[in-house]
Amino acid sequence: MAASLVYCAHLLAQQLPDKPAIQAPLPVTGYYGRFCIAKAATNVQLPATVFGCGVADCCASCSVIDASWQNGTRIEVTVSGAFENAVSLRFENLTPDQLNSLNIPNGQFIAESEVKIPSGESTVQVPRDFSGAILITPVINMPFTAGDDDGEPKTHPPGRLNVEFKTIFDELELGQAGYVMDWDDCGPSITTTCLDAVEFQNHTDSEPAVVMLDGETDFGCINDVIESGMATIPVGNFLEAFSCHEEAVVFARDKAMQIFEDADSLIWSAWTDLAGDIQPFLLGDPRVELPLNIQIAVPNNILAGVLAQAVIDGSTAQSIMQGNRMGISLTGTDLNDLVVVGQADRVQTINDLINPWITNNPNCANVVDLVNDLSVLGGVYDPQKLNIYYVSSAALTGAHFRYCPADPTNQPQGLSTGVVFIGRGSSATSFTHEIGHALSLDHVGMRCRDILGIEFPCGWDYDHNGYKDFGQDNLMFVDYPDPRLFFSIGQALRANANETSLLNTGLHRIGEPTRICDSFRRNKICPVLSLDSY
Amino acid sequence: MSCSVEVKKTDKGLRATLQDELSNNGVLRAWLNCEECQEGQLEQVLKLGDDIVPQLGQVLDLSTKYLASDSLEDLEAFQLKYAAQVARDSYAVLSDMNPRFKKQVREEQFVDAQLRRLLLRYQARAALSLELMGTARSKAALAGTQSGKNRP
Repeated sequence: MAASLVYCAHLLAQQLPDKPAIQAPLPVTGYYGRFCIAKAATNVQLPATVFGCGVADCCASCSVIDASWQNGTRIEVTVSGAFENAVSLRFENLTPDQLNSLNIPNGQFIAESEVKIPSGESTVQVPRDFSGAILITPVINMPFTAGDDDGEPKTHPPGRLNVEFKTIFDELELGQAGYVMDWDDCGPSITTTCLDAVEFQNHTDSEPAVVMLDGETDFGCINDVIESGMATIPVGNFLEAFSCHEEAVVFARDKAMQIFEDADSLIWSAWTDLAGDIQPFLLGDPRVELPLNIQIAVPNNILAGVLAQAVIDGSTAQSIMQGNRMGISLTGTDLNDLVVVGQADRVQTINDLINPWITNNPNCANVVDLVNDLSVLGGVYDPQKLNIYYVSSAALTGAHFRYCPADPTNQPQGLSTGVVFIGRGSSATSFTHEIGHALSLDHVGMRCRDILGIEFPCGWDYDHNGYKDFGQDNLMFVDYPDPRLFFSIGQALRANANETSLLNTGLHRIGEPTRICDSFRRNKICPVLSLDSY
Repeated sequence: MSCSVEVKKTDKGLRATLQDELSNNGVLRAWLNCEECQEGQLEQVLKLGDDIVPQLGQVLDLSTKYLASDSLEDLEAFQLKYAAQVARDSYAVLSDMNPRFKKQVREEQFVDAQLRRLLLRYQARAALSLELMGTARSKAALAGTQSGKNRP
C-alpha cells in the first residue's frame, strides 16, 4: 500500500508542473488560444486573418499612398516561442499560378497552398499582379513530440507559441495581426494507474460527461480536478477525507448540472484509502428550464426578417447551451412561441420607451421604471420569464443588447428577471451572450484604460498566472467578431449555482445548492472561471 | 480598388498622413465591431471629424449597396466572403453541438442572416456617426448615400 501511495503521488506530482514564467506581455488584440497538448487535434487550424483591404479598412482607394501589393507591400512573419517548425501558412484565395509566384525565401511548400514557416523571421512577397486582400490561415502542425533517449517519443513540455504578422510598405507598418497560443499540459489530471474511478450512471448521450472533483489524496488536498468520459473514468486514488474539502460537480450535455457536496452523504462513503474505489454518479435530472418571453417589437416592413432572426438566435442558443454542457434548456424559442407585438402604435410606444431609456440610463439604473412602463402595455412584460425584446430602436445602434437586472428591492421575490434588448445588426450569438449575463456571467476580455488613458487587457487572467485564460471564441467575450461559441466549465458552474443567476433569482432551479462565485473568486467551492475540460 | 494618387515612397509628410489614416481606421474598426460598446468609442470616431468621413462614407455606401442584394454570398466583396466563411464554420460547430440544429436552421439561411446583420450594424453605425458629426462634409456623405449618388 505504501509503495502504491508513493507511486501515485509521484505520478500526480509529475502532472502538475509549474507554469513557465511570463514570457511576453499579454496581447491586447489578436488571437489567443489555449490548448492541451495531449488532446489537441493533429493539425490545429487557427482563425484566418485578412491582409489587405476590407469594407472598413479602405486601403488604397481612400489612401494618399498606393500601398498595394503591386507597389511593393509585403507581409513579414515572425514565429517565436517554445516550438520549432510547428507553423505553416495556408493561402486561401490565391490561384495556382499566384501560388507559384509567391515568394517566401524561408518557406517550404507542404501542400498546394500551404507553406511551412521556420522559427524566426520570414517575408511573404505577394505576387505583384495580385490585387485585393489575401486570406491567410495559420496551421499548427502536431504532434509536439520530441525523441527520448530510449527512442520513445515523449510529449513536448508546455510553452507559448507566438506568430506575428506585419504588413509593411516602405518600412512603414500598415497593419499587424498576432496569434498567441499557450500549449499546456492537460490540466491537473490524475488519470493514472492509481485505480479509483468515477462511474456515470444513466449516461446515454453520445458525448462524454465531465466531472470536477475536490478531495483528499495521499499527498494532500486537491481542488477542481477535471475528468471526462462516457462511463467509468479512472481518477487516481482518493482517500477518505479528514481535512480536505470534498465535492463533485457533474456536467453532461443533456442533463442538469449536479453538485454533490455533502461529505457525510452516502455518495462519498465510497472513497477509501485503498485504490480501487468506484464512485457512482447517477445522471438523472433533465436540464433546468429557463423560460423566455420573446417579443418582436418592430415595424411590419421588417417583421419577417426579424422573426427569422429570432428563430435562428433561439436555435443557436439551444445548441450552445447543450454543446457546452450548461445543463440548461431554453423554452419559448420556437417560432410559434414568439410574440409579435403587431399594432404599429404599440411597436412605436415600445421603441419610444426604449430610446430615451437607453440614452439616459446606459447603466440600467432605472430598469424597474422601464419594466413598469412596459407592464402598462399589458402582457408585454412577463415577470415569470426572461423578457427579450427585438427592437428597431435607433438608440440601440451603439449598444445593441443589454441585460439589466431588475432591482430585487422593488420586485417580489422570484419576479426580478430584468430585460434584454436585441437591436438590428446583432449577431446570432448576441442573444446567447445576453442570456449569459442573465445567468450571472460577466464579460471576459475587456479592454481597460489606466488613469493615463493607456490601454491594457483586463478580464483575461483569472488564475493570475500571467496567461490569458480565454480566447475570443468565448461567449462572454466583449466584442465581435464571431464566432463566440463556448462557455467554460467554470462559467457553467456559475451560470447554474450563483445566487445572482436568473435560474435561482427566478426560482427556476429550486432546492439545489447555490454559491456566490464572482468572476475573479477562486476558492474551494468556486473554481477558476476559465476551468475547462479541453 | 486602386489608388488615384502616385506618391514618392519617402515623402515624410505623406508617411505621417498615412500613419494617421491607419490610426483613424483602427478607431473606426473598434467602433464598428464593438458589441456592448464602451463609453467613448463612438466619441473617438466623432473627434476625428472630416478626416474619417471618406471611410465612413465608404462603409455606409457599400453596406447599403450590399444589403439590397438578393444573395450576399455571391458578392465578390472580400470582407463578406470572409465573414461568410466564419459563419459557415460556426454553423458546423453548432451542428456538432446539437444534431437538431441542422433541422431547425439551414446553412445558407444562417450564413445569410449573419452577413445581413453585420452589414446592418456597419450601415447603422456609419450613418449615426455621420449624422452626429454634423459637418458639411459628413452631411454631404450621408445625403449622397441616401440619394444613391455615392454608390460605388
